[in-house]
Amino acid sequence: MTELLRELADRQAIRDLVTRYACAVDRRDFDAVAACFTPDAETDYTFFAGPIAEVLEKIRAGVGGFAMTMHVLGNHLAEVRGDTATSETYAVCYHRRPGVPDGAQLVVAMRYLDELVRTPAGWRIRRRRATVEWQQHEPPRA
Amino acid sequence: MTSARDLAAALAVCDLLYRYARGVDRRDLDLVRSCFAPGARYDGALASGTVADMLAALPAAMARYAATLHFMGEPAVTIDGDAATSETPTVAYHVLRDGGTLRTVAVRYVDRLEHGPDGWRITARRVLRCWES
Repeated sequence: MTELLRELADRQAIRDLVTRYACAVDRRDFDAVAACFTPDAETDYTFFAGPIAEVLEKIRAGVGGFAMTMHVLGNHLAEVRGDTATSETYAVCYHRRPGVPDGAQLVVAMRYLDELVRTPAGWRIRRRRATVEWQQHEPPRA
Repeated sequence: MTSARDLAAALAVCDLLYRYARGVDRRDLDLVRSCFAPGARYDGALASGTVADMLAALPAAMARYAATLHFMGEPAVTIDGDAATSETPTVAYHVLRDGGTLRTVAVRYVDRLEHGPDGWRITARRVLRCWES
């Protein structure tokens, strides 16, 4: 593969990884969430922090309190240096309240700041910091 | 068929557009400046003139907010050799300094770009205001 194609493929793979994470959380597929990280990954989600094994349980409990979530991703920048990379991804995350038919929701805007590593199985996140830019509770429609 | 070179160019243009957002949202004026060619045309709420006018108005505009997040959808990029055009739908969230009231401004960035010795740069930007809430 030429260097240019390799760079394009790496960029796409990293974007796919970050996107796969968001879908996996929304679909409550926590094996797929775990597969986005190295086993020893360290994370800081602002609301909670620690090794991925512990944080995974907190994510599970956190989204479990909502009827549905949708992590909508926007701006994505990544820099690849050999077998490591850094990336930043903007996300607006909708958390639908359970038992409220008219759609109360919590909206949280975040930036995912990731350090990634190329493994034999593909790119993985080994460090993640999720900074909360704003959050808003939207009441049910009257 | 799109060549690998054009794919790389489109990616580089997307990177540039997202770097602009990063620059504004991180209050990094040098990063914002680096996204534009010197003398680039700029027409938007911040200024109607050149990028220098926009850059002069930006610090005061940013100081009104505790934080901003210029949340961009996928840019539509057309590459034509060393020139390009792009259009980027954007929802810009502005957190007021009153404890977190959110002002939402939706715009479309309509850009002309050129590739030079320093990579891709915006040579003309029009900011089309769509709605505000």
